[in-house]
Amino acid sequence: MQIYTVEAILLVFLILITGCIIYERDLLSAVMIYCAFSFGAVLLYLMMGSPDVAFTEVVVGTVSTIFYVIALKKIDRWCK
Amino acid sequence: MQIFFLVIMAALIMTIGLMLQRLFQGPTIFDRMNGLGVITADTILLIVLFGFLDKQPGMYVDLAMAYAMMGCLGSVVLAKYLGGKKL
Amino acid sequence: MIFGFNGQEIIACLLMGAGLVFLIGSMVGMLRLPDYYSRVHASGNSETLGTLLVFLGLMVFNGFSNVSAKIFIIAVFVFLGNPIGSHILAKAAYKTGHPVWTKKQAVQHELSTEPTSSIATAEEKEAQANADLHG
Repeated sequence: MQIYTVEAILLVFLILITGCIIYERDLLSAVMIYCAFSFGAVLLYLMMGSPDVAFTEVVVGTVSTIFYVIALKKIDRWCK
Repeated sequence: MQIFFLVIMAALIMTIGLMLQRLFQGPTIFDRMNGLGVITADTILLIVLFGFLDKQPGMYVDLAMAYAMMGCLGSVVLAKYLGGKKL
Repeated sequence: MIFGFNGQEIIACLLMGAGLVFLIGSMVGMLRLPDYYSRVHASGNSETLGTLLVFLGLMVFNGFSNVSAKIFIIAVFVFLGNPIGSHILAKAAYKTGHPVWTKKQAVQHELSTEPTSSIATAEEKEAQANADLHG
């Protein structure tokens, strides 16, 4: 029974993070919040009982954050 | 013993919730990265405790190991990006 | 001493309780401390120690098996990774001139945001603050 309550908390956590990414003006901050989003997604995949998908999500989440930061290094970092 | 795992998981989820406030509202990028570091450490703990909650931690512990290795890469890359030549 | 647990679980409970204390301590530190540099202490040091203690409790709870060996490896990586991440960020922040919080600056900020009606008390507070600093 405890599984479902923790899963509900995580879903709310993910929706909160997505909303905040949309309203973020600073690109670099949006990338950082995206990294937190990938943590939540990993936990959610785990709760649904699929460790292999969670493994790829760990690697994809971390490496894509690094690529975003490197891409931001090239273009001008537009922030408020 | 299950109750003890649930107590620690509740404390971790509360910590992550509070760190979200720091992550969203933090004035500078460094405050946000600070919150992110705390969330990384908490997620690793949450995964391992979650494995013990299901009584078969074998599946979850490997994932936490991957996370522990990859966890701090974001901080290092961002510090190198923000530090520039001076770092 | 069976209070619903055997000896091994009691030790695991004690270790995890200690870990929990440090985790709560670091959370309070993260919320209360005024500046980035002071908050890095909370997230870099006590968070890592809390995590290590909880992992130690889990290893005791699990006895000798490959799972507890993996938990030990995780503890080693967290013990290495977390402080490194915090340190390199704090160094980058310092090198790029992130403002350092000082008590004098906080007092001035407090003075500037005070309502204008109590001008008289502002001078006394300023004097007291200076005396406090030099004292």
